[in-house]
Amino acid sequence: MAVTLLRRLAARAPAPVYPVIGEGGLEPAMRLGLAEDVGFVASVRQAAILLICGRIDNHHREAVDRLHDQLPHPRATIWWDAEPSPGWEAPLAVAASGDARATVVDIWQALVREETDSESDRLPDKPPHEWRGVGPNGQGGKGMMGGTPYGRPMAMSDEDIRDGLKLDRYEAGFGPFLPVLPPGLEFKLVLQGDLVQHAAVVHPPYRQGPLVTEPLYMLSRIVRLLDLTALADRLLAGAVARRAGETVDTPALLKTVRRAGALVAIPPGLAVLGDGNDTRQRVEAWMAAAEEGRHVQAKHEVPPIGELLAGLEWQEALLALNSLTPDQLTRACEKTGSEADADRGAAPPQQGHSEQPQGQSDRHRGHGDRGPGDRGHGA
Amino acid sequence: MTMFATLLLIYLFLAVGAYGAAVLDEAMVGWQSGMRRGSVWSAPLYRAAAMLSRQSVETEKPDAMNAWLAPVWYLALAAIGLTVVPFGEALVAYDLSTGLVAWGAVESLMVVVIFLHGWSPNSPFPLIGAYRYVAIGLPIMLLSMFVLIAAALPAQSLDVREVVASQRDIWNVIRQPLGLPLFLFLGLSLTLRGPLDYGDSADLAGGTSAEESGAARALWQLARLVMLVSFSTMAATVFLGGYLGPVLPGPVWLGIKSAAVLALLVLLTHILARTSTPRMMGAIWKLFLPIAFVALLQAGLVALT
Repeated sequence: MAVTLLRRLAARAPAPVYPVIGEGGLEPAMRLGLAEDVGFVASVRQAAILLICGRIDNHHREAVDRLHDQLPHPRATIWWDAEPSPGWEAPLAVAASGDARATVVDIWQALVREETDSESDRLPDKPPHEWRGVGPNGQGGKGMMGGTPYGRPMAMSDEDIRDGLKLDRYEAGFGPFLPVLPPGLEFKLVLQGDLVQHAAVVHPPYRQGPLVTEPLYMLSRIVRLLDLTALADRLLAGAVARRAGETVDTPALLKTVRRAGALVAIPPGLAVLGDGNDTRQRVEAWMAAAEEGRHVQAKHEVPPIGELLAGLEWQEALLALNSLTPDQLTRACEKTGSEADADRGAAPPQQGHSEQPQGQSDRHRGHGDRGPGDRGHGA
Repeated sequence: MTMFATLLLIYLFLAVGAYGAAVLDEAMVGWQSGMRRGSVWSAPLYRAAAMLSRQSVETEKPDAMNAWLAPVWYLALAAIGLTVVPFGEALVAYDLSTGLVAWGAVESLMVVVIFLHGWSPNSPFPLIGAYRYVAIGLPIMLLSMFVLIAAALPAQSLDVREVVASQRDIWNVIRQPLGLPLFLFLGLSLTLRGPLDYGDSADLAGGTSAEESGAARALWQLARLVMLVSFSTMAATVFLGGYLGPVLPGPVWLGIKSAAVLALLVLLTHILARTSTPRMMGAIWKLFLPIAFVALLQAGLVALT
């Protein structure tokens, strides 16, 4: 009785969806996320439905599987204008022109009412590297601190580039489908607490339609990072409406952004390009572009991503990344070498950023032996 | 007997207040985003039911005991904070002569609770959120201590009942104009909200609760709302004359005033941007703490004259 009531109430909540956005999938996905009965969530743990929207590279299929296994039960996956991975039993596919909203809402109702089975894990629930019993103390390696328990090297303290406090440095993968990063962008970061020491690009962002240079869309990404989630949604709705040719009260929107202190909240001198063009100035330029109804065009040359992000705190690093246009970001990724360069000292510009060397690929991100807990969030 | 009645009042305050806060949040989000997602009265209930009907995922090698204890402590501290608040002249659950110190203890334990919540899932984003909260939560606690000491000066007592009684002629919000604005910093940071949400921030995909799902997530969100009610009641007591007021009974006045503070906090959550952790930490130590000193000096001089 109580359970039935709970299910009936839950069925009336917006369907919690985690979007995995592939090539060209951004605009349709964003439009879907604005629907009244669909709610995009920031973490896979909050989602019931994994929505793959747009074409994804084959070597990202494992990342999709890993995300899939992190969704709590009951869960379902929808492939919208995307080719389902092999081995998926009766995948729920929607054509590009299809009504994804209806599918999302239907499957959410079915999940809540337990009318459909929850999807089982895609990957084996075991550590990514054999380590138990290896080495003299069974810690997975040689020496006192040389072990790799759970396939991860022990975090060791290192010189700090911020305030001289020697904190442990650790390496972790972020992306390619982390909502705070542009879709497709995949990093290997060396972090010290919340500070980025080194950044290596594993995969550049996917190509998208014209929405990515719509200033209101770019502004919505920045504003979301400043914890103004509701305002970010309003900007996103404005961007999508403008793309559809509808009239939007842009001056009123920009006034709300200014009044919220969004410009003041962006640290001054963050990710300076060319002649003193910092993040705040770039955002101001977008606001001007929004008022004039233009798309954003970047003029400044960009350094490699690693140079741009080194020494920044996590939120600052994300603000800096999201202050670049897709073209700038792609160029910055091309200048940055593959993850091999993450090793200290060596950072010659290399090509081949999209290749992920074997053997290291699932370090830090694999399945544990207890559950689908995952270190590299949003892998 | 009065203690029993007051404890019932505390539970009533926290329950009604938490639901009211969720409704206000929903309304404010709808207004700021320009999107309505169903009725503001029922939407929080539907969302809570959706959370409760889902699995609580356990991460790899979590600190399971602290993952469970963190939200329980959060709820308990919210309720404990209210035990020293008078709901009427003789309506107080615990007539402690050092009530303000007890509230201070609640504040400082909150730093531990939120840290443990970020620590327990064994995952980078929650842990970064936890450290961030500690970096910001500590100086904000100092800020609130200065403000509370200033409020104790005209009452010449750390007893919350005396602090209310000292506001019979003039409320502290007028006598000490800097007090309430500075105290609101604490409210936003204790409840992980908007411009001071350093624990559960959006850039960390939810920070300390990034790995949480199902009932565990629902419990943590509920605890945040309950603490919001508890803080608002404390702020109304210390700065807005608490239960004092004509005609209506004391608890009703306290409810009205607390609701006003709560609404202000919910509004601030959705209309102010959050800056980066190092900048906010610098601002608190170099700007807001000196302002709190000045506020304390001003309150002292006013109390002397």
